[in-house]
Amino acid sequence: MNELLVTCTGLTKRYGLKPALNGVNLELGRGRIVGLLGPNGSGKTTLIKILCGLLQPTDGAVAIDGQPVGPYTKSIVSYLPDRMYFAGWMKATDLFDLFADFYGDFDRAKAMSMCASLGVTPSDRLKTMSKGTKEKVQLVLVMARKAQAYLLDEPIAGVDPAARDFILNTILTNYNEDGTVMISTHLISDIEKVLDEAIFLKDGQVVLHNTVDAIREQEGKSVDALFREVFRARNYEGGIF
Amino acid sequence: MDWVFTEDRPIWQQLMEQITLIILNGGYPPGSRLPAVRELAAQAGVNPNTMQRAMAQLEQKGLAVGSRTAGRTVTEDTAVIQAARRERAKAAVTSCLRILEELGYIREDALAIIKEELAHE
Amino acid sequence: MFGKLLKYDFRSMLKQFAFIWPAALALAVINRFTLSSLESASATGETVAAVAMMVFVSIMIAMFVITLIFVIQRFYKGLLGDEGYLMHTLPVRPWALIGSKLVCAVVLTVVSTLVAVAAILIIVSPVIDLGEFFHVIRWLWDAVCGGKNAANAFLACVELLLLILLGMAEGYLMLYLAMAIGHLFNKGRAAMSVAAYIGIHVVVSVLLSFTSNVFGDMLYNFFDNLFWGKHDYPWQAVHMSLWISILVVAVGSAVYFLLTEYILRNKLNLE
Repeated sequence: MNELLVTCTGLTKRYGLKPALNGVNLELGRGRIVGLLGPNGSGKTTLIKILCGLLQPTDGAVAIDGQPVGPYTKSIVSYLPDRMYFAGWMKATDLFDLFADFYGDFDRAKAMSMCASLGVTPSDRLKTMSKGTKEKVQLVLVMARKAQAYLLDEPIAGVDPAARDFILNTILTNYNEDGTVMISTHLISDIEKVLDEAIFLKDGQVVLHNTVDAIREQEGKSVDALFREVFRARNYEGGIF
Repeated sequence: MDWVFTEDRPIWQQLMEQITLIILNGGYPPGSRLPAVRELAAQAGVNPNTMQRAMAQLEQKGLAVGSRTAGRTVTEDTAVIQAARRERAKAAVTSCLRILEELGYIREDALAIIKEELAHE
Repeated sequence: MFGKLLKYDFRSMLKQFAFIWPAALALAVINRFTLSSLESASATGETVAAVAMMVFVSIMIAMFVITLIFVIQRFYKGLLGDEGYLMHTLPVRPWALIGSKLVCAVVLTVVSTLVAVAAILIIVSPVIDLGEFFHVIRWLWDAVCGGKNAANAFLACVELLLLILLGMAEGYLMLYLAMAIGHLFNKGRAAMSVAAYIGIHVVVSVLLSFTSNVFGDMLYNFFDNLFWGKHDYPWQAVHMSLWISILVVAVGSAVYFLLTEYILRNKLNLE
C-alpha cells in the first residue's frame, strides 16, 4: 500500500482553450477527511471526475494508491456524483446485488442496516422514491463500501439543513477509517468541523492546502471566514460575482 | 448535549473544554468510561481525528486515563478534578474582571459590584 | 467481470422486453381469428394473401423498430447518459461495457426475430396449411442437404448463421460508433450522432467504390473462377464466398468496435 493515497502532478484539463484544471499538484494521505472547497466553476467536479476515471486529463499525472487510473483504482474508489445514476426500473436491492457483484468491498448487510436507519425501504422501485430518498440510496451505496477513497461531489448542496447534519453524520459513522474521504462543496460552514484538511481550489489551481487546525491557529479565523476572504467577489473591477 | 463551536479557535480545543465541563459537572463521574472516540465524534458531528486530539489532551491534563483494554476512563484522582475546577473558575473570574475593566469598573468598584450581585442571590 | 456485465445487461433487457414478446404472441393469437373469419366470409384468395402479407410485413417492421430503439437507447442512456456515471466507475474496461451491450443486442434481435416468425406462423396458420408448408421445406432441405451433401450443407448453414450474427453485430456497432462520435461534441449530441451515422455510411460507400475501381478486375476474375471454373468441388465456392463475407464483416465490426472503444476510453465527457 502506497503511503500517499492520491497524488496529482501538474494535472491539467482543458476544454478547448479554457483550462478547467491548470497544473494541480496535490497529495492526499490516508485516514483523512478532506474538503475540496471552491466556488462553482473552480474545477472541483473536474478534479473528482478525473480521479474516478470519468475524464482523461489533458496533461499531468494522477496516481491512486500508486497506480494510474484504471480498473484497479476504480475498485478502491467509491464515488458519489451530484446526480442520480441508476435506471428507474431497478429496486435498491438490485443495485446492492450489482455493487456486491462488482465491488469486493461492498458490505450488503451494512447497506441494509443503513437503509433501516435512514428510513428507506430497499425493496421499493427507485422510480417510486422521492428525490431525497433516492439520494439516500446513493449515499448508502457509496458508504457501505469499505473503500480506500470516498469521493463525494457536493453531497449536501440542495439539501435542507436537517438533512445535511444527517448526511454528515452518516458519513462520519460509516466511512472506512483507513481510507480517505474527499468532500467537494461550497457550503463550508456546515462541514468545517468534520474536516481534517481543507483544499482551496480557485480557477483550476490549488491556492491552499492545510489542516483545519493550522488554519484556525495561523489565521485566527475559521476556514469558512478565510474562504470568504480568499474568494471575495470583486465588485468594482468588473470581475465575476 | 448541544455542542457549540466558535469560529476563531481550533475545534479540538473547544471540544476539550466542553468535555472537561461535563466531567466537572459530574456528567461523566470519576472512574466512569468515556465513550469511544468515534462515537463521541459522531455525536458532536466532528472529525474523529479532531476528537482524538481533544481526548489526548485530556489525558495529558490528567483528567482522562487511557488503558489498552478498557479505553478511556475519567480519572478518579479528585485532586486533579478539583484543580481543573479551580482553573475553570479562575478563567471565568478573569474574563469577568476584564469585561468590568472595559466598562470602567476596577479594583474596589469591581469588588463592590460583585458583592452587590452576591447579596441579591 | 464481463460475465457480470452481461448478467446485468440481460436482466435490464428482459425487464423491459419481458412483456413485448408475450404481447406480440398474444396479438398474433387474437389476429389469427381475424384472418380465418376473413376467409370464411368468402373473400378471394388474393385478398386473404394480401392481408396475410400486410400482417407479415407490419409485424416484422414493428419488431425491428422496437428492437432497434431499445438497443440504441440502452447504449445512449446506459453508457453516455446519467447511467454512465455508474457504468464507467465500475472496475471494468470500456471494451467490456461495449461488448456486453453488443452481445445483448444481438441476442435480443435473434429472439425478437424468432418471436416475430412465430407470430406470423400463428396468424397465417388457419389459412395456410402448415403441415404442407413444413413438408415442402423438409423436401427442399433433403434435396439440397441430403446424402453426401449433408456435411457441407451443415457447415454452410453454420457459416451462414455466423455471417448473419456478425452482420447484426456490425450494424449495431455502426450505431454505437455514430453515438460515440456524437458524444465528442458539446452541444446537439443527438443530431451529431445522426450526422455521424450518415457520415460512416458515406465513408464506407466511398471505400467500397474505391476498392471496386482499383481491385475490380482482380475481384471479378477471382469470383468468376471460384464459381464457374472447373473443379470437382463446387461446395468450395460456397464456403469460400461465405468466409470472405464473414471476413469482410468481421473487419468492419472490428474497426467500428476499436474506434468506439478509443472514444469511450479517452474522450469520455459525461454531462
